[in-house]
Amino acid sequence: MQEKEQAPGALFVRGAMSRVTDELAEPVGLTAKAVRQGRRRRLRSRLAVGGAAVCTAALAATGLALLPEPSGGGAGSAPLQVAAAPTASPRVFPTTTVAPTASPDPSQSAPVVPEAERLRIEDFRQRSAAVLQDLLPPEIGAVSLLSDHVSDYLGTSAQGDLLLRFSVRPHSDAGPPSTLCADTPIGQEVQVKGSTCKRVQLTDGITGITWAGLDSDGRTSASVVFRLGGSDVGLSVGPYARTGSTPVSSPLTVDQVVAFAQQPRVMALLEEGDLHPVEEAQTYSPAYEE
Amino acid sequence: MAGGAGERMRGQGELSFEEYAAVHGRRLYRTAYLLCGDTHRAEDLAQTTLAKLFAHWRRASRMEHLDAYTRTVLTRTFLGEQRRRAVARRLGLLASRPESSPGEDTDLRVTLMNALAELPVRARAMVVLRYWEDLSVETVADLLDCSTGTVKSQCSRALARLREQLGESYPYAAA
Repeated sequence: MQEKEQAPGALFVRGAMSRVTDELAEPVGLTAKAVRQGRRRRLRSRLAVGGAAVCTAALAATGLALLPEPSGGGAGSAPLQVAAAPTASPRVFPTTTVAPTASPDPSQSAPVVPEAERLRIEDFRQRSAAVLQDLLPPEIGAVSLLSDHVSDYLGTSAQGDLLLRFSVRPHSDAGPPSTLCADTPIGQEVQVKGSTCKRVQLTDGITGITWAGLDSDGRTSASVVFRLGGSDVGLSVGPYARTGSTPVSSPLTVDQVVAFAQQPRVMALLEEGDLHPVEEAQTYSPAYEE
Repeated sequence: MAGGAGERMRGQGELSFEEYAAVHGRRLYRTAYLLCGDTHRAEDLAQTTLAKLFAHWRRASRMEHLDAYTRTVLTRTFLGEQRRRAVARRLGLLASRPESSPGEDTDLRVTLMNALAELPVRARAMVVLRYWEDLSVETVADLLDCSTGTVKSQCSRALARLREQLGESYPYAAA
């Protein structure tokens, strides 16, 4: 039990404080604002813990890559390091860090992203991973975020690794012209160097172009691209062709990718990415023109 | 907070953050206002305190002395913010602006807040915690990481000053 200051001076000051603060109006929405701020604080501290785990994994991977191989082999493979997924709810998808095989060029260092922006992008990526995991067929396996590009995710299916792309970026007129299939009737397939494109109706007002791709090793990929608001959207499932991983053909067809794109939860997330971009507009190099 | 309503509420079952904040938010805001003397900053302080509580609510809600913990968070948030403001002011990054008050100024409020503003930051915190929150000398000393002697002497000096200033302009209060 705490002692109460009963000296006359104390009573008088307490009385004055009470009268002055009685005049204060009730702060509006204090609890709701505190909850919002608290959620941000909680997310930030979780990301800090997750980030530390990712950094540790990246450092370990770098260390491993620098060690001489026992067999005396040449160029080292790029091992994948998967940070342990935090077990606390809500679920957090782990980030898979691809270890660099060469020292980074200092002139190419990534620009410094403000903390709040980094958190926003991380939150968007976590929710993107969640829709990929929840709404794509289970054949894609466990989903994780890939560290090297904001729109890339890794699917670790039983057969091998898959690159899942969930991209919504501001439309750029500087991008490559996509004339193929752009003017064909909906549903008509066009063969292009072993791949097939087709114009499809995604929603009442949105048409897209699907691609059933075939790479030089005979592995297939499935993708759909379309315009949404002021953005270019690209959703794809294909082989994750990276040293050290086992790339496999997409277990999904283009129709399954289209069905995924049509899900309201996916569309809502894409619309958010359109209104609040997490990627920069594509820069186009003519060297890649077909 | 002084009444320990948090402790009472928890006896009636699991206490939700919203319930706790609804009951204690206003008191927290009033304490924050006495600490900083500005309604906007007081709201920010109360909000940040509650946000910190929310971020660790599962653990915090099981604390035996949740109200005391909340007071500690508020006080430390206030002192931390004061330190940052002092640095920013020294670097010329913080423009001084008039403190915002709740509507029409009364003589008592002007005199009390001016008198509190003249106290050093820690002395002001001591006065608010000791006389407004009714905390013991030992608790205040513990909270502000100083000796009980410091709390006693600072409070005694501050109290004399407050009485003198308030008494001059507000004779009713001195009665």
